Amino acid sequence: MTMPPSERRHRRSEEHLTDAELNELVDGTLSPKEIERAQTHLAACAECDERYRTLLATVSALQSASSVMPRRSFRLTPDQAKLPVKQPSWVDRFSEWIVPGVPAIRAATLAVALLLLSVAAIDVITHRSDTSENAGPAVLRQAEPTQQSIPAQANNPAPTSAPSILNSETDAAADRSEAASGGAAAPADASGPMVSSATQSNDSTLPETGGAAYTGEIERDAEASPALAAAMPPLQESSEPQQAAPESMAGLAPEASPAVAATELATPTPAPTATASPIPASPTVAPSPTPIERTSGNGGSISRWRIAEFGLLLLLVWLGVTWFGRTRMNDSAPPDDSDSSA
Amino acid sequence: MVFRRATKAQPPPDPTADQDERLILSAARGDLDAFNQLVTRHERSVLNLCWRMLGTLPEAEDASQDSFIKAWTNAKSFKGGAVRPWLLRIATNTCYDVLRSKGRKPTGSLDALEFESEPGWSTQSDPVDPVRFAETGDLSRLLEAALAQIPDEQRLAVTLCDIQGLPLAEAAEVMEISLGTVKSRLFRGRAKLRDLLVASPAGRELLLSAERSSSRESE
Repeated sequence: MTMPPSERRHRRSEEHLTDAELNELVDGTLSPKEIERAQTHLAACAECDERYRTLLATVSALQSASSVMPRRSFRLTPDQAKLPVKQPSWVDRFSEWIVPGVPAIRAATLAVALLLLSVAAIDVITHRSDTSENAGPAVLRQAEPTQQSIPAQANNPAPTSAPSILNSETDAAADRSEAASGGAAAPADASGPMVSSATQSNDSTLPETGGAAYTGEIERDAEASPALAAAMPPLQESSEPQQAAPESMAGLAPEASPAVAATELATPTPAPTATASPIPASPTVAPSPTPIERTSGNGGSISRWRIAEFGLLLLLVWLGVTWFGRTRMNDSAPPDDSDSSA
Repeated sequence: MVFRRATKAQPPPDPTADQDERLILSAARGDLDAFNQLVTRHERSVLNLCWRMLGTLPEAEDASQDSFIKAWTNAKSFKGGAVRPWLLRIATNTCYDVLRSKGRKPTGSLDALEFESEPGWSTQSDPVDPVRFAETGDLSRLLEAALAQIPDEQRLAVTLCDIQGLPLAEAAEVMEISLGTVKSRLFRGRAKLRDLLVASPAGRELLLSAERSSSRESE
């Protein structure tokens, strides 16, 4: 339903004027048509007319509102021009002390960046050392099946594995022990003969008397090389499976510790009988100590070098930032001086 | 019925803007004398804005001086254009900081300021005949009290546009808002002031008589 234009105009002129319209009327920013409609309405509507007149008076009062004059003219003195508006907070001062010339936010960003860098670097270092540590057990895992396969292959000659392992573990120590034991044992090729002797003696009862001297010596050697035993706990663990075999065999050293039991197992091996069967498992197991020792040694040195490198890097970064900050301070100093002189 | 405009025609842009720009550029190079010339030119405008926003002269003077020191510190970051809106914007932000530190939010607060009428203030009103002076004196006191009760943003718009007579575009620059928003705040501020003034019969009568006398003058 459409309304004729004349009626619509009449209806619109009957509507009260809004505050915005009244304001526009006061400011004189209405279009001529709108002014005409407003005039028509104000002539007919006392309420809007009073709103308009009071608004007009308000704006007039605002325009003639009192103002204040400065009691004394303010002039910026050279001292005020030099002084900062605010004293720096303790955070600013601290960051200025840590990183001169760099504002707190930049110093904080730098700190976060260094933190991230250090976390990343430490992660890399620990990852490296993890992998180097994993290398040891990996070798062990390779070695374990061979060790376990030995008792599996020979149920009767179970003790063979134990001495052979012992020989392989105390490879270097055995050399020294044999050298120390002098003429009682054959000085050369100690590991091989001992293994072979053990294999030979598996059926026989072990001659405790003959082994006594060796036992003491080898034990001493085991004591002399505690680093080897301590540095490679996996080896001790790997020797534990063999412990069952000696114990079941003859109750040679039922109360002894695994290490002692193992050394005691080696005792009944008189060196002179060495030549009988030189081939058994010792070559298969022998490689295990060497790679383990090498990898662990390499891993440690890599970590230490990495940490040293990282420390050096941090030092360089800090020195660079400090230098940068001081350069900035020096750069900003001359304008300040010229300001104060001006 | 004669319709008349309450407001003067929109004032032209500051004619001394070019000179202001030269002075601020010199100040940015460290010329303190040039900056102090700028202070002299705009001190009254900045002080009155602070006074309207904060309500007391000591606070206004402190805020005004802080504003000029900030302006000096940031003179190098002046990106050209008119200096007056730039200075008034710094003053506005300083006032908002003061209001915030006093625990009042800059927007929408209807808490009345303790508007102190200090006799030592040097006000600049045109001297008129005693009867008229009494009338406008009362109205002006009433207006000051009403101004203290409208929201800060509306008071700022009214102060800039009606009291200081800035063009709408310059006020928008000072307030960093659009032209439409300035208009809206100005209109709402005026309407709220009028409503506060006519809330009492005496205030309504004062307003209407002031309007009658000024319309007689214009006739």
